[in-house]
Amino acid sequence: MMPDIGQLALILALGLALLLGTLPLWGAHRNDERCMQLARPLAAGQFVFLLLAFAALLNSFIRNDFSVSYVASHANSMLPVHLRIAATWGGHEGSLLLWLIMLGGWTWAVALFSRQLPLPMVARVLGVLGLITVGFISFTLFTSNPFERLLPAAADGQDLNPLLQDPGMIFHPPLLYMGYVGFSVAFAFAIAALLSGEVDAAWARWARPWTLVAWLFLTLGILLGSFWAYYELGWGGWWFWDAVENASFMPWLVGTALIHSLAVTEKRGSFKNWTLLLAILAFSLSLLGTFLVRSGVLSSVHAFASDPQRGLYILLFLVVVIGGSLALYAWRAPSVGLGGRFEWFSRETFLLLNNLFLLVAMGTVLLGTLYPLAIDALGLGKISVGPPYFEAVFVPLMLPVLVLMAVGPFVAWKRGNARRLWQDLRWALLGSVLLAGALALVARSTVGVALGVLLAVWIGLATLWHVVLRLRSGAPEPGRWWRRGRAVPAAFWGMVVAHAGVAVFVLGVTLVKGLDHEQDSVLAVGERVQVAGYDFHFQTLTRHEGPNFIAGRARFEVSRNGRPVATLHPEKRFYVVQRMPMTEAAIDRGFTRDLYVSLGEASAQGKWGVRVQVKPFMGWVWAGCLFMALGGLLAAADRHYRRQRLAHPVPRSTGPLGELGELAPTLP
Amino acid sequence: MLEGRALLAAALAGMLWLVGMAEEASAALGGQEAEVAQVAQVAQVAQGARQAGDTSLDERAQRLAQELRCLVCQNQTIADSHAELAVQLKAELREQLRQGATDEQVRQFMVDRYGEFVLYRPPLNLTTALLWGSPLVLLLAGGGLFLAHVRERKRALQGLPDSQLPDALDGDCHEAENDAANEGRGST
Amino acid sequence: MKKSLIPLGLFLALSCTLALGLARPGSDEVPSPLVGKPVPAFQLSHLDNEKKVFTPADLKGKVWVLNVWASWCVSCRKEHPVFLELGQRKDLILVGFNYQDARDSGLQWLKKHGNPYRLTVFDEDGRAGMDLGIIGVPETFVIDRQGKVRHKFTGILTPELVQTRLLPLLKELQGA
Repeated sequence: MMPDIGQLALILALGLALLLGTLPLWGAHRNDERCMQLARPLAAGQFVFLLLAFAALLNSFIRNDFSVSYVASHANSMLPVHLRIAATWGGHEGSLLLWLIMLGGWTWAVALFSRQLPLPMVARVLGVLGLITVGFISFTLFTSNPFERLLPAAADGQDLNPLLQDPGMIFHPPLLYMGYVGFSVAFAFAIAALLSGEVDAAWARWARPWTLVAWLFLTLGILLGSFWAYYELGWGGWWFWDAVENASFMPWLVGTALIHSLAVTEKRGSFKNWTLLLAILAFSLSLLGTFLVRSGVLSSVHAFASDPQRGLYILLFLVVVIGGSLALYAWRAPSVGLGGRFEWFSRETFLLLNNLFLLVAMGTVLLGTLYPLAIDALGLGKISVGPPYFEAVFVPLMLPVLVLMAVGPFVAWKRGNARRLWQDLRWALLGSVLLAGALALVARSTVGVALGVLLAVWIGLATLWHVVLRLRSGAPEPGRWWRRGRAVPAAFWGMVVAHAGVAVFVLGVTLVKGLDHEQDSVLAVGERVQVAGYDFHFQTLTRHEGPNFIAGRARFEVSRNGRPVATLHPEKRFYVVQRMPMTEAAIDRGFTRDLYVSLGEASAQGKWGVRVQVKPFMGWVWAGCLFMALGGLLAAADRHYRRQRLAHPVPRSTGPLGELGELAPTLP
Repeated sequence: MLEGRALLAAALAGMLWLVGMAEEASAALGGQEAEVAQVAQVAQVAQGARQAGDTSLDERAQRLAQELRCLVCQNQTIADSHAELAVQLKAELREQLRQGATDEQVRQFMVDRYGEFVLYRPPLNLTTALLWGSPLVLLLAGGGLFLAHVRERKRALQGLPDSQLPDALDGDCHEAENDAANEGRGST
Repeated sequence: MKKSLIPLGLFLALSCTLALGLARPGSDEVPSPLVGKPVPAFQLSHLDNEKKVFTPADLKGKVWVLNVWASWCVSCRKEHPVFLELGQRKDLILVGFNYQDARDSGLQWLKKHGNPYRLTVFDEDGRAGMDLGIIGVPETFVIDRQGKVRHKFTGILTPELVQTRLLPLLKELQGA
């Protein structure tokens, strides 16, 4: 019964979405207040039914209802409950439902938190979101229905793919989708602005917190995906430039460019066209990612089962949504005003440069990801484009961004002062060169490592100095610093924390890639291996049974200079239903290093292949991303986004450069 | 200037801390001489055909293996894969390096048998010219657009008086003043 | 107006690429670089007689088909009936290639399922298979009179493939 309720709920949601996608937009066009007023209740209604549909599917999984085809292919009675819940979004159909409740949720959130927006804008934004929802619900209902029945019902299910049987699986897709779908809000704002013809600083102020939250969720989603791959896949890596990883990284790159571009539009009224384009692009890349993962054009360990028919549907959806929005952009953009003036040496230019490099980087990642596909489709052969390529092109492109990131905040808007900049930054420059140089000499590191450390320290010191300058200006006595700190807007702290996060991340990546040690050995029980000063002693191997697997569980005692450091238990599992072997790595995480042990194959003589890795500063990679996300949260939480009454005016552009309008407070 | 010196002091302190870390790290990674000999015997039993002093060969083999694709896996290098073919190929390439082959020769060996598909770093040829050239091309194109746009907009905004342009307040000093105002109101 | 059309133009180009990718899905099989080149020289003992050795030069001047199989390979059992038939043809010489197996298991397998091969070679460690670029089993090579590899089938050789690809090729090679 529940699956049928779910099915019905989905259909009703489609109906409401259709209404949401048409009436408010019509109302905004005709200035019909009643139609526009419908937007908020319709948004709430569609969300309710989407939630109901999702709950129905969740219920089917919990109850092990194998009469539902999707449940039968992704669960099993032996699967523990928490993993059965995660299995709800473990396959293509269910993950679409997850996408849908995210979309419904974001739409409803916009409906709730938009009191200070003018009604036509709200109507348009919700209307666009409604149209996107229509697309996704129809895709689900017509090609990927999770509620399809299996008659007669299966006796038991095929179990969830063992790779996905993990807590990381519970959180990674929802976080990631929150990010992907969140960019639809920025997209909707952009379309609404293009439709109405009103693009100005106020619009940017409304759109920015939504974009920041979406961006931070995407950051967390990607972080969790990497974190999970690190311990789940058993080879010690955490980023492979795999097609699906790139599919999540590209919107992130554009999203980063977007939040910076929005800052400019919000404060100076400039870059309006560019910001609109970025907002469209970010969501387009989210959709493109969906296409790549589900259409089967690219093979990947992440990809869902391929189906060209679904691929065609998504491609058409892409063409309509992206093509349509870009056509709208082409039509309307020329009439959008230019905003404020700025010199060549100004913060605006620095931010534009930041955008330039981020977008070029995104472009190369896109090209690298699609190239094998294109070459194969053209019949020119089969090639692989992997990490060596991506690292070779991406890293050099990011270097300028990292250098400029430290400099930009010190440059004034509109017209920067080069001499003052030098005065502000010379200590930080000196400090970072000294530090990195010393490190390079002592550790006899390579140029690459030294450069990475230099950049990380450079960003760190410059950011720190920026905080000092901000806190001390106008406060000669000590003690006032603390009070001053509380008066500084959250958005500033957001920037500081996020940039510091980048520094931490760069440091972590540089050191882990430059200084890590890895060794493959074949060991019998009782033998040991030395890696990087640590002694790994293979003590025992016992048999161990889990709920739906059988495992060989090893115990490794790790010591250094005779002192015990950690005990690790890597496993080699065999999942009985899917008949699939899996290796569970054992990791000892530390502040300055990770110790990583994974079991390979057993040889005929009873020996085991063992891979041991010592990875310095691995934890800093994760910490850096967390800081970035935290920075986004702080920035989004800034009070000025929530102020209803506007304190100080900022004029909108006038005449041939835009329209007159209301005003917004000054911002950090 | 106090802040400048404070920052320099912080930098020096940080430097000492990091140097300390690096010492530890490099000691760990470099290994202490005395232990190596003792440990080598045990290690030899465990590591089969490996001999002491093979580290640079291992490193070369590892680096090369990380550029080669495991053909029976979804998307993995032969360095990372536990598949039988991957293990065999890795052993084969290590043996070839040991016998004096260059990296290029080993790559050619693989390509001759499995095609260019096996290389994760695509070779530079006519088919991949666009791929390898794109970063530079995109950068130049983007840079060109950027320059053109900024120039054009300066021209467009040239004749207009400042009063007609939206202007937020300039630079940091005003931001800090705003903080002071907030502070005075006792708000956060 | 012109500049703002660029994004749309780029996107349409991208869509065409994606559509092309959908319309002509690349097959999973990796094209063999050996096609068109001389078959790699290898020297392997016969499966049933350690002392007898075979090398591809032995079959110079003849058209022959090399079928790679193993006793542990389930798909090989599926395609075996096709080879039982092919073994009776006069226009080719069928050679078996037992890949990464145990001699006894290989011989047992042939006894159980039938032996259509003129001879079978035994590659215990897979080293010769590496020279042939073998990724998995089953695989089948077609070699012409000059000793050049003309085609490689990866995976099961179905009757359909025999009709559409193998037989026409054999006809061409025989005529040469």
